[in-house]
Amino acid sequence: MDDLYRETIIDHYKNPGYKGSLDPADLSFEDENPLCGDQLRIDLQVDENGTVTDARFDGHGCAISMASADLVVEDIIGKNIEELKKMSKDDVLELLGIEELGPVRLKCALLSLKVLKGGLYGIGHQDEEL
Amino acid sequence: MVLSAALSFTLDYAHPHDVAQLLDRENICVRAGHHCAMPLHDRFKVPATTRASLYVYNDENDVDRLIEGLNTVYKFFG
Repeated sequence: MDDLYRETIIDHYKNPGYKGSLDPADLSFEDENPLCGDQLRIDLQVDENGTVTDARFDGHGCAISMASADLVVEDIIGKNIEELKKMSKDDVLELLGIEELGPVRLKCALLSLKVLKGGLYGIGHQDEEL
Repeated sequence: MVLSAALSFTLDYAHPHDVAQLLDRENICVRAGHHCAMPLHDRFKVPATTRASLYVYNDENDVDRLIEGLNTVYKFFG
């Protein structure tokens, strides 16, 4: 339980390193968690090889969803779009350093992945398993 | 006069889900989110609220504990 509000998560929530927007952005995705009202947008700059050269997020939500967004955006810079499509729920939880999370808070933690994947696949993401 | 013991509130320094989770640690049970009243939250332009619902099973001591719990939340996020 205590690891849910570990120092890393609180630090990324209070002092996000990648909050903001990119102008111009090559790809920009936005989605929300309708159950709790969290909103998130992720902007990406991608080079001709499909490698993410820069990324930012913006939105509002709880500590878990915002820390998750900051960690995910930090993680994807330098990676290839094809690689990102394979990013899983476990990858995000590993970034957060969380092993177990209840179903409600899991939605918070995975909003960033939902936005990222929804954008990469060009659809509103419906798959619960991501 | 209207009396109600269900109090929905927001804190400018912490999101309702974080508030609820931290109160849960102190064994204080509240609800967080839209409480099946999303249009009302839109109306007040708040993303979500925390709700403490008191009833005959609660006493003054529970209210004191809620306040202590909220102080803990403030120490964490404030």
